[in-house]
Order: sequence, then structure tokens, then C-alpha cells
Amino acid sequence: MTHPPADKLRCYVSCEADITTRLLVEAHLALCATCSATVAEHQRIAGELPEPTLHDELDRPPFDQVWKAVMRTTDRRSHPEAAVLPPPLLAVLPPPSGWRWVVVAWPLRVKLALLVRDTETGSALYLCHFAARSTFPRHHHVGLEENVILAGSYQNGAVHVSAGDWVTGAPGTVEVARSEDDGCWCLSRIERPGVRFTGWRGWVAPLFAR
Amino acid sequence: MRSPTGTSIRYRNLAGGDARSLGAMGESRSSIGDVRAEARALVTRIARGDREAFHAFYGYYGSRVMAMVRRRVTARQLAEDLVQDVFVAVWLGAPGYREEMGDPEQWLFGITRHKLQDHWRRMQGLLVAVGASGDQIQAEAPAQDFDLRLAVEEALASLPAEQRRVLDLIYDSGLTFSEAARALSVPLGTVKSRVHAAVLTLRAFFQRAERS
Repeated sequence: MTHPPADKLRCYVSCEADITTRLLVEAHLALCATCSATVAEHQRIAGELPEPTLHDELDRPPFDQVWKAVMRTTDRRSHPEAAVLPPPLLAVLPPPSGWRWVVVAWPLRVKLALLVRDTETGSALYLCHFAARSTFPRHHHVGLEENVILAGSYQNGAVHVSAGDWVTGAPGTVEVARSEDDGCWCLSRIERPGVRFTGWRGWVAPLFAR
Repeated sequence: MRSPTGTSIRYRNLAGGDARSLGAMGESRSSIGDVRAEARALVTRIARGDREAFHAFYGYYGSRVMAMVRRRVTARQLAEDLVQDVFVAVWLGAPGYREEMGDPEQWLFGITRHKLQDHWRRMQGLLVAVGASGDQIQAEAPAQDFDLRLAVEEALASLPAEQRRVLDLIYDSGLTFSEAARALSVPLGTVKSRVHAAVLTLRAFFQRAERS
């Protein structure tokens, strides 16, 4: 398995990562025992929950109120397209029923949905699905692209990636990803100015470029 | 003094609260290791959808999460919302919890820190929207920013729930008005009017605060 750079994990623990990086790291942690242990060690040093005062005890919301909030959000888990995401992410993301899917390779072979955008950095997090044996069109990484493979696998040239892998597309590189028989679900974080398709798609589909 | 599952512990001055309802109120003393093991057992049960285990976990850790939140967020309504958000994340995240992620308390500490970070990010976005100085508020805000933090929190807490929800999607999740409308299943015009009303309320709040 390939892992995020150490500085990403440090930023995650110190809460300095933007929202898109944080969610991408959490997706990787859900699939990687090694990085989970590293983060736990950093977390142990970061501090602990303080002892409560009587006011804290009295002011915390009643359990029934918390339970109602839980019930309001658990329907997100049953949404078929959300089921592939590690559950902690669903507590942060907008409701799956509102995700807008965009098809980027016909007929309906590759689709993606914007999940969240960081208002400060402009980076965006997308959920991407490749049907079995489909190709994400050739594209330039104009900004940094980082992916975590959630399920299935794909091939990019000689590189094969599968569930849990952290895949970086540095600015200036080109990628053509082709899924295998099991298809592929991945989470993609795109930094500004995004990616640009090459060839005719570059004219008709300026995706991610905002 | 209670452990997560209701048995007595001697080193923590914390009333059992809701955990009492679970029974198992023996007077035996247990070690820190036992408490951790019991907390892990509760998380395992929560992962299976056990409401009683969740109740016990909340009974034990709810006040401590509130303590951490109240040291950084003054408005009680917002603090309650954040504690609620933390435990929703616990419920959703429990199936993914593994021992290598550390003790449940460490795991909970990490969730709470990130929820606080979400809160500050949302506040900064709002401050920019209403024309205040967003860079004055930081996650670990020093004492001199206390008045400003309090003002923003009070202003935010004064908004109706539907306006706060729209602001969350736009200033926390970074969605456009159209994307927020889709997420909430309401017309675009409704989102625009809610944001407009919220920003006017917040701006008026700050103008009043400046005058006084």
C-alpha cells in the first residue's frame, strides 16, 4: 500500500490540514493500519480530554437530543452511493441525496460528484466511480491531484493501484486511468487550478477548472 | 465514580450520569487498563448499532467532551451543537474504529479537535461574509480575541436553524448557492434569501456591537 507523506499526517493531527486534505487522510486511515497507528501516537502526544466541571456536566445536551441528531444523519449510511465512503466522512459531508453526479466518459462509464470545497484554499474533494474496464480520459494535472482508492483498482501506465493506496498526481504530469474487472471507487482531492483534459475534451469539458 | 460500563473507578472524579441506567453498578475498583478495555467494548457494541452502549459511552464521555468544547466555545447553544456533532461522528465512525487508532478516549479527543476546527473555519468564513476581520479568529484563539469570539458565537447562535444550516453548507462545506439548494432540496431562491437574511442579521449584530 502507498501512504500519504508524513507531513500530511502531522498536519492532520495538528488540525492544520484543510477540510479536503483532512477527509482524504481519514479515508486512507480507514483502510491503513500503519498510518492509523502513527496518527494515534501523534494524537497521544497532542493531549487528552479535560476533566469536567459541574457546569460541563449540567450543560451537556441530554442524551435524547444527541440520539435524535444521530437518527437524522444515519439515513446517509443507507444511500447506495455513500456506502463506499468510510462512515466518519458522512458526518462531515453534505447529504448524499444532494450530490450532483457528472458523467465524464460516455456512455455512463466514469462519473464523479463534488463532495466538499475548502473555501480558503479552493481545493475540492470528489467521489469518482469507474465502471468495470472503463477509462478516465487523458488529463493534465494543472494543480496537485491526490487520490485515495476506496474500492476496486485501476491501472495508470505501468502503475497499478488498489484499495487504500494514496496516489499523487503532481502538477505538470499527465494521467490516463483504466479500471479493471472490479471497477473502481476513489476519492480525489484537486487543488486549483484543477485538471484539464487533453484533445477535444479540453475544449468541451473544462472540468474542475473554476 | 463510574467506568464506561458503569463499574466503579477510583481515579476520576466524574459522576456516572446516564451510565447509571445500564446497571452493573458494582463497587469493585478497576485499573486504567480495565477502563480502556471497557470503553473499547462499548465502541464495538456501538459499531453494531447498540443504542444502550452509545448511551453509556455518552454518559461517561459527554461531560468531558463538553469540558473541552466549553474551553474554546463560549456560547452554550453552539457548544451543545458541537458536542452533539462529536457524538454523531462517534456513532457513524464506530464501525471503522480499530485498536491501532489508540484508546477510545484518544480517538474521541481527535474527533473533538476536528469538530472545533470545523467550527473556527465556519466562523472565519462568516466573518469575511459580514465584513469583519476574519484573520482575528484562530483555532486556538488567545485571550485578547475573547470578546470578538463571543460576539460571533452569540450572533451565530441567534440565527434560525434553517439559516445556520445554509451557512454551514456555504461557509463550511464550500458549496455554491446552487449546490447548497440541491443538498437541501429547496429552490435556489430560498437559499439566496436565507443567506441574505443571515448575513443582514450578522452584520446588524456587529454594527450594534461596535456602537456599544
